[in-house]
Amino acid sequence: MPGLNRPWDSPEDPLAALRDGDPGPFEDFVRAAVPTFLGFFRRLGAGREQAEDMVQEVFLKLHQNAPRYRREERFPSFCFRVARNVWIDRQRRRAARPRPLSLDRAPEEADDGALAAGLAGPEAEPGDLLGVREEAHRLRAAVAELSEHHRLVFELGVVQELAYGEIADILDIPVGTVKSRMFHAVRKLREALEPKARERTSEESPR
Amino acid sequence: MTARVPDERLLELLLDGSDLAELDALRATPDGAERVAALERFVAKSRTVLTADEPAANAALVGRILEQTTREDLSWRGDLRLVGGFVRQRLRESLLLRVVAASLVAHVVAIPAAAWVIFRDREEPKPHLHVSFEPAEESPFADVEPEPLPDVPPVEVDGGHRAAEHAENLLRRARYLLVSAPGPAPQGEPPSAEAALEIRLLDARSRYLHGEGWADWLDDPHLARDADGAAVALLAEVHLDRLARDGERGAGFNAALARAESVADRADGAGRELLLHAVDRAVGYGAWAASDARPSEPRLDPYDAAWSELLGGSLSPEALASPAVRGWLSLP
Repeated sequence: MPGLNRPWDSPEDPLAALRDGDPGPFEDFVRAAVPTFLGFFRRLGAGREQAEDMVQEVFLKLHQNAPRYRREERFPSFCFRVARNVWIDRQRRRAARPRPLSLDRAPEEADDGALAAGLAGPEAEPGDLLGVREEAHRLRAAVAELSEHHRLVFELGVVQELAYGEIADILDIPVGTVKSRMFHAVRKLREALEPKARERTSEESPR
Repeated sequence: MTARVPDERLLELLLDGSDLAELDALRATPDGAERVAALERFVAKSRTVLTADEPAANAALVGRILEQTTREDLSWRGDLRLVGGFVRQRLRESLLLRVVAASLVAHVVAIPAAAWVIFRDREEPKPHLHVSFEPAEESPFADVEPEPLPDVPPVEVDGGHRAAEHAENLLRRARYLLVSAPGPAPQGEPPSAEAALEIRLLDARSRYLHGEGWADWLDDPHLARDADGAAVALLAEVHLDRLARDGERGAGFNAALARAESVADRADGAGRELLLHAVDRAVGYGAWAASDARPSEPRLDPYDAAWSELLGGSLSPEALASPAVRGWLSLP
């Protein structure tokens, strides 16, 4: 089952505990899940302050809805549904297109050196590290180039590890659409990472 | 030989995790194992790269969230902090609001400072008084002669209504006298039959004037026929009281007045005076025609000194002594 390894996806439901008068699990959940939601909104194109505001709004909404909360789906799905609604509300309010994922990252947010070392392994050569860094840069650029629909599906399915059915519920679209968007998003990203394999991938495509 | 699994299905098997058996079967084939492994590498790399720059837990942000949720401060400080946070957020979101706020602050600070600079060296304003005398001017009307008043003969206005007005005045005076009349007289010694009737009449008159209603026996036609002397005068007076007060002529009105007039012709002294007073009163009200056989007697004028006294002395002795007032009131 995907998603069980997320730090805030504990068996104990924080909102159910909060509804029953125990704020402890909710506070632990806030501490653990703030980076996840910050990354979620940042990857969708929000600026740092805007992302913080939206994260704050997500937790406020969760807290406000706790007295009426009934567990009808997995807790992460519920949280990402709230996050997606917050994102859409904010987009509507601002009536502006989402800002593409910035490639000019702040130094503290883009430690590609450490990332490359992690990906390449401890015995990697400097040339390997350079290639890995370049690959990470290409991947981020390709994600930023995706449309918002494709980016949301990719984010929820690959990064947040939600099942197709959950993604369909969150985005309020059919599962078939989720499959199609996911396939096209992955194909574009793989093409960006493996330019030489583009032709082969195209041949493998059912369409 | 099994058909090649499309990439879309392969992706679904790997990400959705809905059919692990099919995924394992695919891994068992050389081609499938290679494709699954490549896709797994891509997914893992994507997760690693994209989550690597997830910001670390922001203590300030976590603190803010907890303050607004589980650790919300419900005191006035919390309210103040909430308002401050709202204002800060709005200022952060709106450039226009920032400009307006900056302008407001600048005005609040700059206006008193500018006023202080402007008025710092200015002298206290002193009042400037200028007094002068203008030359006197002659009146433009000094040489104008007053025109003589036109010699217009007096015109008698609306003389045809005097009789009606006179009757109305008499009724008003009578109403006033009736309303201010004293209460019933105290009981005396047992009276004679004639005196008992007079007492009954006086009692009925007093009760009527004090609002206890009209006694029906006063309209009995036998009453006027059988009565004599002062009783007849009283009967006529009580009927006239009713006419003056309520404007009603009772069934015995005519009989009482006719009897008073006929008895007055053969009476003398005080009794005659009382009877004639009643008849004259009826004539004065316009409710009775005076008999031609009876010699005309001077009519009582309603505006006499007694009337003035009843009015509480509103006419002073000096005013009553004035020929103009006396002439206007028709006093002798």
